[in-house]
Amino acid sequence: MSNPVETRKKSGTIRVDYMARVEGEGALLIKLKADRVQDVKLKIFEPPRLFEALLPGRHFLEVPDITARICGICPVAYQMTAVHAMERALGITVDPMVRMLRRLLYAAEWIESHVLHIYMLHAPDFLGYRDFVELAKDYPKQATEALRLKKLGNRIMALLGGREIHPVSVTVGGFYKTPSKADLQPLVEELKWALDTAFAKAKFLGGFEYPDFEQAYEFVALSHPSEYAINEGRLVSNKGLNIDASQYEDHFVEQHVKHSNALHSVVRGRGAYQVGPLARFNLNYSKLPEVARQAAESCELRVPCLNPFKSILARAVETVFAIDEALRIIQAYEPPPAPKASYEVRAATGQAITEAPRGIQFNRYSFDEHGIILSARIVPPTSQNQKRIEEDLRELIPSIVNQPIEELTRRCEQAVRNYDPCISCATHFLKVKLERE
Amino acid sequence: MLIIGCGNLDRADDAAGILVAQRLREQGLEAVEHSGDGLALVDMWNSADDVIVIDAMVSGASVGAISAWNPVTRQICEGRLRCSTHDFGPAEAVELARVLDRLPQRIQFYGIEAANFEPGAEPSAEVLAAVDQVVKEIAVAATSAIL
Repeated sequence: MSNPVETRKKSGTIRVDYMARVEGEGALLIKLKADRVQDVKLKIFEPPRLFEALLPGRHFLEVPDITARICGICPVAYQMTAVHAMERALGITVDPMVRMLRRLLYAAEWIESHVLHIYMLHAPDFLGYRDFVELAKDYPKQATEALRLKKLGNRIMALLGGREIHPVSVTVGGFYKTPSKADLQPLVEELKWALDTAFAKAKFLGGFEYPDFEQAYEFVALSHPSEYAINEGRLVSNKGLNIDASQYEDHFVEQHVKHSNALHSVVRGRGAYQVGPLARFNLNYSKLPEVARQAAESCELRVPCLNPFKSILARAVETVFAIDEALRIIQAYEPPPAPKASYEVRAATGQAITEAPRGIQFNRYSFDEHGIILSARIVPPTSQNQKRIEEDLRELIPSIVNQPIEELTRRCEQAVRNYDPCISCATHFLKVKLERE
Repeated sequence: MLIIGCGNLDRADDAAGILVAQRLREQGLEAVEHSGDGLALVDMWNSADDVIVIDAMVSGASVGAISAWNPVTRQICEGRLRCSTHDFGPAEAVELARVLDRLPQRIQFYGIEAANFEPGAEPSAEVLAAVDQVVKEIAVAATSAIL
């Protein structure tokens, strides 16, 4: 919900004092002079979370449960990236079924997070509603189905993780407990319903009106030779990047900017880049299952898509993918011989990247011979998209600058939401302030 | 009767609803705790005709003040029980259930005025006293309903 407070008086300032439907506390400042954009700043003023300072001195086994607390929407992303980093550090290979279960847990988070963002947070922008409740009044079937889809994601999370939010089953080497085949079977019928429903919904979303806006993005995502990458792969981009997670810090640098408590991540020598569903769709389209590619066709989402407003369609296609993947995994699942691999602790450093719902997350941990964390680094997706959001707005505003203030503000908010920013993750309300000289 | 205590035990006064649920269970009454997504409340309400929801609230009243109201007949002020900008709280859940015609036949909200949401801090004495009072009121109502 947004409460635009129009203050374009003699001061030449427009302010939106409270932008919701994003997570966290921040502000957007836009300065215009003679209708030309002078400055755009996505200001994140929520205090830093300091998780990286909190982890040293703790045992590495504690890390997945501590970092999961960074976010209630994508705790699995934090857990997965952490355990993969520890496992890479110690050379642990997990059982193939454990690997599949982790992919299932992550798919559940994608379903739950994508459905939340598509219908409850972003769709109201396209349909001209203040919020999801208003949308639900006019589209009760769509709303009811969305609630049921989201519930399914939560249900899988609870089944595998012990609870819907901040699951507690994940550990280095595997899980504390793995489900039986029978435990997963009751999900099948609901997943079949969900697949049909999510497919039909992609077509519904394809009928929205999309602003004519394209940018020459550098898309960055994980890429895996045989699957639509979630948990592992090399980090690639459409501008030639192709690296292992261990090389991430050689190619990406976080910059402190005065106006934000979240760091801006850039590709060294190139600048802003985009991570998330649209990046993944563009870079990994060929790895999508047929049903997801058909869903993309039904909503006319085609590679390459350079329109950030169509990220909602990429999310819809990925929802179809995640449901299909969950079905595939459950049908192939056999309980692993042991829930987790055994390993020896030694001093080591490990890095990992996984695909959180809103884009890649990088973790690096060093620990001593007792497994005590010496240093930690966490780069969440929103800090990676933050600079790109500012650049999108800088390019978008000139094309809409003559529109009424409310419409201009609404479109800017919509453009921010293209990235499903989780500002709490990055350090988080968003206030929008537009100044004209 | 479905009794749902909402909140977060680890955030000072926000524990109010959870504490009410726990105390009611100690008295042998069924009460569930809910710390997550407010949208899930819409589903939880599906299974009952008679629902009581308890949560911390911020309305500007004095800390520990108790408000009780029927959200069917009295709309909740926006943001009053809001728990997140990204997720949905009980207020949004009520409004959503209302437009989807999924509100239970009878629903009662108890709000306990909160001030401190600091992570790891204890609830204030005023909030704890309010918790005791709400437990008494709900125990009487629930017992009457059973009898």
